[in-house]
This record gives sequence, C-alpha cells and structure tokens, in this order.
Amino acid sequence: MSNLLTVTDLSMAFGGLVAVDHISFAVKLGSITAMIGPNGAGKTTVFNCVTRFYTPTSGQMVLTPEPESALDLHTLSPYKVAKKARVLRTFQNIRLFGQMSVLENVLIGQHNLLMRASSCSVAGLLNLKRYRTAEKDAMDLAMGWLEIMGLTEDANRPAASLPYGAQRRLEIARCLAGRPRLLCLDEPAAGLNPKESLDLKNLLKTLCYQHGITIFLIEHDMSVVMEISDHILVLDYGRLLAQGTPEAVRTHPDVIRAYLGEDAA
Amino acid sequence: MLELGYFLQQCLNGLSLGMLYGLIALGYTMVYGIVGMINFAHGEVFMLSAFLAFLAFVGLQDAGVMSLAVCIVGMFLFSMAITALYGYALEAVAYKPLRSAPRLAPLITAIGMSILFQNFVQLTQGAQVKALPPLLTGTNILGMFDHFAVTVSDTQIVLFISTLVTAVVLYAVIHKTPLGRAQRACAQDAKMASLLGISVNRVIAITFMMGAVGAAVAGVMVTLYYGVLDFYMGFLVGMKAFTAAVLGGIGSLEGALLGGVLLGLIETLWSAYFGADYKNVAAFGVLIFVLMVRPSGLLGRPTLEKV
Amino acid sequence: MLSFLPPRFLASSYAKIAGWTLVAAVILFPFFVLQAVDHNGQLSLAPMTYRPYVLAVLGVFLGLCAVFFLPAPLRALGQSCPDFAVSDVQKKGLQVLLVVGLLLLPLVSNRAELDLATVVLLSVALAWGMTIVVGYAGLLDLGYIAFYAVGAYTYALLSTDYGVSFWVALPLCALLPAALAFCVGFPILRLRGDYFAIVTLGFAEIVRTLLINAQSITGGPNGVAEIPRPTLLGWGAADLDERMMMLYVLALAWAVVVYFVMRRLRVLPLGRAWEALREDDIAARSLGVNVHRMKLSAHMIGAMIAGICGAFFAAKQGFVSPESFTFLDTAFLLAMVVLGGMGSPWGVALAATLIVALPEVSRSFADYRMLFFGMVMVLVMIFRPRGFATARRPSVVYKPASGEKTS
Repeated sequence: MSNLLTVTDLSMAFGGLVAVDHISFAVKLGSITAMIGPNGAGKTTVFNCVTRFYTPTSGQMVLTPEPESALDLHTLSPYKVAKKARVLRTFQNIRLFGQMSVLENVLIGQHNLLMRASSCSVAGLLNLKRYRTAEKDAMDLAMGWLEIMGLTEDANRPAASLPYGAQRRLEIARCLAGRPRLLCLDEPAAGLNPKESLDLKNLLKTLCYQHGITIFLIEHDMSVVMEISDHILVLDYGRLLAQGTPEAVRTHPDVIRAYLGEDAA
Repeated sequence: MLELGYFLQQCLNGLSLGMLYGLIALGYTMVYGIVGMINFAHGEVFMLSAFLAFLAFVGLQDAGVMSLAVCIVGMFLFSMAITALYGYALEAVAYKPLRSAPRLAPLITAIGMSILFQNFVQLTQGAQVKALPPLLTGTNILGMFDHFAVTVSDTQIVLFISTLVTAVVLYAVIHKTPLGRAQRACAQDAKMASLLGISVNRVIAITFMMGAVGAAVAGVMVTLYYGVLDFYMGFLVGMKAFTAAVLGGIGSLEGALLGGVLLGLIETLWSAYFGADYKNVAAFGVLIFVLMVRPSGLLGRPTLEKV
Repeated sequence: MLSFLPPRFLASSYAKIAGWTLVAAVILFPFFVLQAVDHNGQLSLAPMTYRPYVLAVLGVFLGLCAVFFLPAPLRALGQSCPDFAVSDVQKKGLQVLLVVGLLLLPLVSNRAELDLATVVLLSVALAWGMTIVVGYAGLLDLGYIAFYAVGAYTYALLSTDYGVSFWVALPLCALLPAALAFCVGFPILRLRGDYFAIVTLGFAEIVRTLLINAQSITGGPNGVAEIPRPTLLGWGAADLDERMMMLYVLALAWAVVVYFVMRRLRVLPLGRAWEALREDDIAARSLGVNVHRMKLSAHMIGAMIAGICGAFFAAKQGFVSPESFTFLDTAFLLAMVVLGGMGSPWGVALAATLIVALPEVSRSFADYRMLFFGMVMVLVMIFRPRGFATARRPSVVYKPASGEKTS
C-alpha cells in the first residue's frame, strides 16, 4: 500500500513550549492509523497542524492522493485542506452547528459542491433545474450517510438536541458527506458507552474496508485502538515514542514504560 | 508652522489628550482581558462620570466650599465612587446574565445599556451642552523657542499626575495584590479559577468597577480641562479610547496608556498641521490600519485560536 | 462589610432586592435630583425636586421584585415562543392577503398616511438587509447606516450634479456600497467579531465626517436638496398624489424583492454557510467553507440592499443630509433586528413597523422611545438571548414518506 499522508520532521512550539517535537510518520492509503499517548502528548496539535488550524514551526506534510498529484498541506489554509485536499476532521469537544438541523449539518459538509452547483447562488436564486438536481443528489447522499449512522429519524431535529453519542456520529457523517480522502477523528469513542463503542468499531471498519476511506484517529480507548488499527503511533511529550502494528506497540518497552511507569519495563 | 516651539506645544497638548484616552482605554483593556469582550458602554460610563464631576462641583460651590483643592478632591471622590457603582450595575445587568449566551448577546445588551445611559442623562439633565468655567487657570512657561513660549497649564499638571497615579495604582493592584492574582487567574482560565475557589463573578464585577474608576478620573479631568459636556460625549471618546487600547495591544495596561498617548499625539498633530476637520478620520484610520497590520497591537501578544 | 446581618438574610432575595434598590437609589440620585442652572455664568443648583427620582427608584424596586419573586412567569415569558402554528397554505394565504392589503392601501389613505407607509416599507427593507448581516451571518455591523448613506448620496449627487436618471443611477447605488463593504470587510472580517463591530462603527463615523466636511462635493451639513424624483415610464410626474403613489408602489416592490431574496438565500448553500459560521466558524472552516468569503458576501449583499434603500430614500425625500445617518439610526435598525428575532423576516417587519410608526402615532412616546428601546434591547437579550422568534425553521426538511424534500 502506498502512503496517503507523509509527515516529515513536524514540530510545533507555542512560545517556549514544544508541543510536537520533530516527528515523522506516514498514513497508508486505505488503512486505519491510530495515534495514542497520554494527555498533553501533542496528539491534537498534530491534527491541528495537519488540518492547518496551526502553522507548524517546521516540517513537511504531503498528501499523495493517487492518481492525482501530491499536495503540500503546508501551502493550504484550513478551509482548503477540506476543500482541495479533502482532509476532514472531527473535534475532541464536538463542534456541531447546534441550532441547525441534523440534515443541514450534513449538507454543510457538501458546501463547496453545492456552491458550485448554485453558481455562487445565481442559479440557486433563479431555482434552475441544474441546482435542483444537485440539491436533490446532495440530500440523497446526506440521507444515505445519516441512515448508516442511524440518524434518519432525527434528520430534522436541531443538532444540539441529540444525545451525546448521536452527536459524535453526526460529526462523522458531516465529514463523510464531504467525500474525505483522509478522515481525522479526534477521540471518536470519548464518552461513549460500551455498546456505542462496539458500534463505532464496526462503523470504522466498514468505512475503511468497504468505503475505502483512510482513517487517522486519536483514541484513548485501547480496546478500540488495538482491535481496529493497522498501524499505531505512540506520542509522549511531543515525541514519537514508537510506531508499528498493534502487536509491536503493545510489547514495545518504551511504550510500557511510558504507560505503566519505570518499574514495569 | 514648522517651528519647534509650536511643535513642542502641540506634543504637550497631544500628551494631555492622550492621557485622557489612555485612562479610558485602561477600562477597555482590563475588561477585555478578563471576559474577552468589548465593554461597549464604557464610553457612556465615562460620560456619566464627567456629569457626576460637574454636578459635584456645582453642589460643592452651592454648599459654600470655597477652597478649590477641596472642590477638586470632592469631584474626584464623588465621581469615582458613583461611577464605580455604575460599572458594577452595568456588569450585573448587561454581562452577568449572559455568561453562557452567544457572543453577540452581551455586545447587544451593552449597546442597549449605552443607549439607555445616553437617554437617561439627556432626559434628566437636558440635551443642552453644560459648560464649566475653567477652574485652574494658571500656566507655567517651560521654555522659549524662537519667541514661542511653550507652556504647561496647571490643569495639565493635575492631569499628568492623576493619570500616572491611577495607572500605578491599577498596575499595583493587578500585579501585587491577591485580588490582582485572582484577576490574572480569571483572565487565563475562568473555569479553572472558579474550581480553585475564586469567585469569578465577583472578580469580573470588580474589574468593571476598576475600569469605571479609570474612566471617572478621565471624566473629572475632562470637566476640569475642557469644561464642556453633553450627553453624547461618551460615544466618540469611547471609540477613540478603544482605538487606543487596540493600538497599544488590548489586554495590556501599559499598552493602553501607550496607545492613548500615541493616539492623542496623532490626533493633535494632525489637527495642528492639517486642520481639525478630518482628525476623527485620521484616528479611525489608525484603528483600521493597526487591525490590518498587527491585530495584537504594539505591546500585545498574538493569541492562538483555541481549536 | 455587612457581616453583622444574619447570613440567611444576606443570601435571601430580600437582601438582594434591598441591596440593588439601595444601589439604584444612590446612582440615580445625582442625575435626577441635582440640576445645575446657569445664572449669567454663575452655576448653582436648582431647587431639588424628588418626584421623578422617587418614581424611578420605585420602578427599579418593583422590577427587582418581579425578577426575584416571579422568576417562573418571567422565564416562561422568555421561553414560550410566539411561534404561530400556521400551515404553509395558511401562510401563503396570509402573504397574499397582506400584499393585496398593501396594494389597496393607497386607495383608502391620505397623503400623510401614504408617506408614513412608504417610510415603513423602506425601513422594513433596510432592516431585512441588516438581518442578513446580523441575523443570518452573525456579523454585528454597527456601521450599516453608512451604506444607506452612501446609496442615498450616490443618487443625490449623480442626479443633481450630472443629471443621471434614477434608473441609471440605481445599479451604482448598489455597487458603490458593496465595493466599500468589500474594502472595509476584507481586512477586518478575519478578526474576531467584536473588532468588526467597532471598526464598522468607526467606518460609519468616517463616512459621516466626510459627508459633513467635504462641503464642495456633498454640500456639508446642509446636505443635497432638490433631488429629482424618479418616474416610472412617465408615471409619477403629473402631480404630488401620483408621485407619492408611485413612490409607495416602488417601495412596496422593493420590499417584496428584498423579502424574496433573503428568504431564498437562506435555503441556499450560501445562507446555510452563513448560519453555520455564525454557529461555529471553526467547524465551518474544517468542512471546507471559505468563512472569510462567506462573511464578505453577507456584508456586501447587506450593503447593496442598504444602498438601494438609500437611493429610494433620497428619491422620496428629495433631500439628504448627514443628519439622517447617525449612530442613532443604526441603533434603531439594530433594535428592529434584535426585537424582531435576529433572522425572522416577519418578526423584523413587525418590529420595524412598530418602531417607525409608534412615534408618529404618539408624539409623547418620541421623547422616551430611545430610553425604552435601550431597555427593551437589554431585557430581550437577557430573557431571550436568541431573539424573539427562537423556533428556527430548518432550511431543508426531510420528509420520510416520499423521501422528497421541500424548501
């Protein structure tokens, strides 16, 4: 398998605090890659750098979406990371458009496509057939993802009124509507009950192996990470402690030391 | 026109105006530092304080107080005390109930409050301009430059001293006292501060009051320096003081004073050399320019958006 | 400080009411009771009158009692939604009825009433334009009136100085404000919302200063007079009645156009993106929404609408001066948008009608109206921070039975 995302020598410092310290890794096309590590290890900072909400202090981030030409994420602004590179993300503390309906949330995920179809609103204002067709397709796509997420019944409810687990799923559905090449999930299992957690595992596998979406996730729930990941990165104090298959990481002495303390190693 | 004496005199006048802006800017900057919001009604708080100083003076005269020093001290005390209460009430009505509301909401309540204050003063005190004869009439010649006497008036000296005292006191409170520590803690992370037993609501209320006191010092000084007030005066002055706060770097006390002085100099020198017609355009031009080039201001640190 | 009082009392509502009444009594005293009078340059206090002061403190006391002892009804008032349960058919019917009523109005009203109706319609259109900016996109534009001013002056100056006809000038009256909105918005819209608010406030002040001071071009404080009235294919030139009728019809047509544009924009991707960035602009960016461009577009569309409203205003009055474009006018507009529910066209229209028409109906109200609006703005935001029409209608609705959608 080829690499979809290649990160080389990434560093991010906030003033004197080095949150991410010269790390390099790759995310393989069509795989599930997980990033683990204690709180404050710099995981979310890596996400924020990849999605360009932060400008890294140094390093390269290249997306290679074959057969198209490679994209240097460094040159893109956050919205272009989503629009051009189609790297889409969720947030650790869910960020939905609370007052808007579930369906509207998912339609925002197709914003650029619909904008083009409405010719920057001109065709939309005139309600041309071209726009109506595009809107119908977008609705169908949105409802398709909502069905997979089990949110069909809630389509017209305000997003903020959904229970917590459903909000997490909606956030993923919203990304999926944007046809992601790389889906970045920031702690998707946080706050889920065991049943929901199990569903999430199956969902992520379906997304990856049936829909062919490359997934890059941050997760604390080891049962999720160990079971579904193809590749695991371990971060500690901003440095890449270890990486490899779940098996390799589980038995890596540095990882054991970081997680269980000096004596256990 | 390009004589050194004239230039120096204008600089001195600009410095005086700038100190007034700086005093008001202190309130903007402190409130912004702690709640992360612009106190839109702060200009009106300044206007209220100027009226209070004016009324205190007339009241003291009526009561037969002859000593000018007593009058001025009385104006300061009365205006500062009541203006602080106004600051407290403003926070309690316009900001406190809206801590968790959408960001736009407290801005709108603050605009509502400033409309309320303006019209309250207009209705109770009348719409006509109030004028006070100059109280401190002495001037001191600093030096002669090509037959141009550069003077500093007694009012300006009082203004410089009161501004510096206010700034030093506020700085000391924020950096040397337990209250100031609580304020800095709330500014960093209000939720964490409240978990550590700091009453965030009280700290915010006190910050509004401290800002109001700064505005009150400016209000008294405007009454002494210009002696002309009307119910609408807070609008423009408030905006310029905000410009000063942004120019210096919002959130920083030193920045507020520096920004105020710079803005005062820019405005006065502009008026002196290009005429007073477009001095407001120049001032707001500065605001827009600073926001474009360096939104964090001269002394402010750029902040990173929390994702 | 008050620790000699029993703690149970201090924590009670009675103590809070007493404390706040005391604060109100102290801070209201100087302004109500002390009045300076000027006897030939000699200032002294006027004889003290206590009646208004006592009434004001009593009012504060009663208000506090209401807040502390009747929280439930107040909260209910705040949360209950005057969301009229009207079906789509009824709604269409009401709309048709309203438009027919407005069309028949000129036949039954006198000149003054027709003039007022024209002003109301223009204000409603202007408030709708501001609703796009403030209500939909969540941009607090405190200089909105400046675009209205630019539109008005564009037509006034083009017609008086160059003899350009109304219909030729109209596109310029839209484009010039939009271009200005771009210039102001482009650098500032990247920053946080409150910076935008204050910069637009400064911008409006700059525009007003220019209008006052650039005497040779704008006529300074005296404004521009004798602006030619437009005609519609020869209609409206005959006499005053016909002209007023035509202006009314134009205002009505323009209001209808603005209504449809704003309703349509809301259900388009553009409008949805506005609402999304209002809700959470970081999330919107993460989904590929060009937040900066969306904000700019809202700001520019709002400015265009304001500009055309301004042209209509200049054409109707035949006279423009800087007086008509003060911050007070922006405050009025903001009151309309906020009281109307920050995005509900009918709520805004109702609020605009009330705000414009009430002072005309009752002159005594005019003195106190700003005080009143200031107070109501604060109360509405406290009790209903999302405005009056809180029940937001989704821009698209999924209908499970047929799987079809309606807008």
